[in-house]
Amino acid sequence: MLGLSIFSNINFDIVKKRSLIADLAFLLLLLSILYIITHYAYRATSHVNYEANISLSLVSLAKYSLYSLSRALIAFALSFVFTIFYGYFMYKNKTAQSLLLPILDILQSIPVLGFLPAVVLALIALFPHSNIGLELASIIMIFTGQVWNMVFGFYGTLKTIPEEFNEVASLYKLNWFQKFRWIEFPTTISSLIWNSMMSMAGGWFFLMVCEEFTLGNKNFRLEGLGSYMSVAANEGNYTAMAYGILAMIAIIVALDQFIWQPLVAWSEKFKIEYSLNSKPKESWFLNLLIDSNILEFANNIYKKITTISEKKFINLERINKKNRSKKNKNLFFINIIPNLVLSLIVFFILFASYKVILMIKYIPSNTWYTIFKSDSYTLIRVLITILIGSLWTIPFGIYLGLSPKLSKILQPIIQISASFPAPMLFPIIIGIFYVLHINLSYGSIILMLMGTQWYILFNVIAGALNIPSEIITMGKVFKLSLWERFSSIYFKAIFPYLVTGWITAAGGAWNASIVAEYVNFKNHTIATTGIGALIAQAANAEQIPLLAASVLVMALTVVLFNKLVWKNLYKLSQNYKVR
Amino acid sequence: MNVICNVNNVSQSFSLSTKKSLEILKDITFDIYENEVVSILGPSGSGKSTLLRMICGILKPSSGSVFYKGKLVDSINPNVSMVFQNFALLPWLNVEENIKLALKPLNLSKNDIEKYTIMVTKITGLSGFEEAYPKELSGGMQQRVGVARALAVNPELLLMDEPFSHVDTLVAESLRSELIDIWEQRGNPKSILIVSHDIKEVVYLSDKIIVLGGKPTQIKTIIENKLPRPRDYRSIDFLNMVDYIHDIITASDLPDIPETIETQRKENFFEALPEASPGEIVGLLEFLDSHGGYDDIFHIAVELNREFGDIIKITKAAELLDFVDTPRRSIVFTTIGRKFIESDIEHRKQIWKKEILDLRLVRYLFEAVKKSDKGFLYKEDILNEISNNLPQEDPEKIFKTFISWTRYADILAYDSETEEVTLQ
Repeated sequence: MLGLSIFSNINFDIVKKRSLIADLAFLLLLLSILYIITHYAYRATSHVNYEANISLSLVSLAKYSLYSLSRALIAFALSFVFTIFYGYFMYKNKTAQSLLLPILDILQSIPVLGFLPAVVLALIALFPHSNIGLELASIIMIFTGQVWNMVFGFYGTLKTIPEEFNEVASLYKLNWFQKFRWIEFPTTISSLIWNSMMSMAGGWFFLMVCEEFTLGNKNFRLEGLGSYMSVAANEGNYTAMAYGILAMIAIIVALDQFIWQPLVAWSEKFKIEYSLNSKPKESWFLNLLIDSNILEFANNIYKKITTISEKKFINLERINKKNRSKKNKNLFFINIIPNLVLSLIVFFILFASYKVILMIKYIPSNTWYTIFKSDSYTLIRVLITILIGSLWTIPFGIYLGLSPKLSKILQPIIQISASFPAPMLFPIIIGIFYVLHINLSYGSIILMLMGTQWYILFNVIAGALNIPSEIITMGKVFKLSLWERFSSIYFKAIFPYLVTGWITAAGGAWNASIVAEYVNFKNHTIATTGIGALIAQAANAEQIPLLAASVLVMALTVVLFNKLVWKNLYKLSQNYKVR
Repeated sequence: MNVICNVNNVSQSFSLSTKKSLEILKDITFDIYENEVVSILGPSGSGKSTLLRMICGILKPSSGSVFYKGKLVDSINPNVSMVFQNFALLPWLNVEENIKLALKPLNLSKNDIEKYTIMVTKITGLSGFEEAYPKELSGGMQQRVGVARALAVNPELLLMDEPFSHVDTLVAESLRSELIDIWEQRGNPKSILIVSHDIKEVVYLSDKIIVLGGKPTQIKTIIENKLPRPRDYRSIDFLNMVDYIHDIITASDLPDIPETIETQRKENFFEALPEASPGEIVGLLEFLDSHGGYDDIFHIAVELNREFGDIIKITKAAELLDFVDTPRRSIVFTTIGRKFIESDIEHRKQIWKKEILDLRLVRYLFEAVKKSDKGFLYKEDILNEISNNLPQEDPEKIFKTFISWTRYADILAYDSETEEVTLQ
């Protein structure tokens, strides 16, 4: 019994004591979230104030940060629901797929400001007696910055579900809900979470635009972190700007620790792998949750609900077996409703196109010339942005990927920098440009770069991590020079990943042009020639036909560039897959 | 004959976490002479490839040193070249370009590069395939490219890391004989060091066989192989040599210790659980049953198409559980083993439970779970216990075996999400 006495020295009581503290902490957390949301909802519904006064005090900043966080979370919830429905519809219905996929392509290339006037005017008209309209408009604009890549990611992973899984489903006669719950949801959850993280960052990017904007001669301003930053920038108050930046970082870190990391750790179990070799990711918050009784409580409720609903399904099926009309009912759900929805969409597109054509019909030819000239300026800027972004991220990313220790240390820093909305730093950068006499025509490239270089960096690191170690050893054994190793091995091995990075970065750069080519600073508006500036000006001046035409041209350029350049480059890059 | 490479008292350890490290190789000493083929024989995971990388100069030993022609190897040795287990060919270069890539750092004239490339493609039988890309070639052909690339730089010492283990068995036979032809006919490579787990391959190729084993891996013995070349896999002398090595491996890994010492050992020591799942152990017993309750361990490995190292691990586990005895290299049922295999699943589980609870480590950990206040222990606690009592072993591996054995016995359950080990 000598051995056992060693054991009794370990105090296992500590482990469970933690759970009481954890329970209390979660209760507090839940209550505070509830309070913030009700308070936010109350503020939004209780009064009308289209141009809120922003105070630069720290107490207000804390309040504004919570408002912005609430908006972003509501927008994210909308994005999530939209993603599930849109993605699932495309996956299940062939006609829907051929119609909805190109629509998504176009929607994704329309910048936030393209939706602005229509959304704002419509919603304000709907809720004339409260701030709900304006709040909703702001939320929907944040939503447009979040949602598209989530849909693409979700649909993409749905398509990769192994055929065997579908065969299992039909073999055991799973109904659509069981199939969704046991096959489709678990296989897509991992990518859904990663895309959600990207989307949140995308939503923050346009926060300043979404909370403060001008339409014609009317100014709109909501209380929030974005508008706080705008006001601070306009006043040239650098201390306030620094506080705003810190608040943003705090929000990003908190979301990462309390939502994303626990979700990633939780989703590990859904990976389609049958070995347990790699060490799963851990999250301290998830461990705490598991220790507390809250998760167990929630789990029990969930189990009860599902057993009830499963029973209902069984009952339904029993009834249906007796009832012949079931077939007709199913037919109605499978055939008629989707077709109805699709026809409505087609009708809406035709109607919208007709309206747009009516609008842009009277645009004079010299305005068209300006539009196309601005468009090519921005195109050149986007390409230079990608070039500069690649020049530093490729060597740096490869270096990080090949030294896992270093990348582990730097990962959190890179992740925060990547999620931080670059436009919040623009006023400071513009100040530097002002001192150094840098023209915004070139300066905007740097602004666009700040927002998009991360996509390239992340992909390069992922590519470098994937190079088989034998190939790295081979390069060393044969004493290949550094340049030879870089050009013959590393660069080509990361190329498929690099192209993915380029595609995402280019999309981001086009979108960023509306805030990079047109900047408010110290009550001045600085603008340069470019389609982004044109769109921003047109939206501010409420010149709807010009706005429509500019957005159309930009969207077409992006889509065409995708189809002609990126798609072919992507195909080419697939030859360089190492595994 | 001159010594070309001298491995002197080399050890290597890797850190498991910030606190602990695991020694993989210990006190390895041997020489490679000129005009000699040397093999390193050992089960997978024994650190053979690590040894190769230290000789090459990519990896520094934790202690000890490697000398090449009397000089300390402290950077990548330009006189050696390597053939890889997974070929390490670049998929975007064709055969010729893959070979030329290795020649680039040598600063040769264009004519010389061309000359060497043609020469090595010829001797490795790749003529006509210069333009082909690796993915168009079979495994055997891909490894020819690997060999050609290694030979192109004209190395004095050729290192080969399980070169034929991912190649079809028949193709591997012809590649081996071609390799020996090349070595006999040409000046370079003067010597070859080959890492392998295939006994026949090792006997066919080498003049000297270094047998590794134990934990941490040490040299068990060094065997001189003086069989005349060309060697014939089916000659009596060849088969005797293979048998001889079989005996050495079983003597070191499955020693025939008298019963009293065996039981005494059980009282005082925690025994490391060999990495074998209940499924594998029962499978081995079933195999034995269908072969008359008695078989040669290496024959079993061939029949089941498994690496002998794996079969030895499974046999060790079965022996630890008192299901079999291993007089020399054969496996025979014990009465318990016989009873186990003749029982139905419920009885099997009962016997299994009784046998594993006879093991000190299992019993100790099981009692610990039972006595814990909440009726469960965290994985981490058990890992700590394992590494305290068995510092030489990888605790994760022992834990995995512990869980699979106790699960099969229906005494413990493990939830990988919460990492809790509970009573069943």
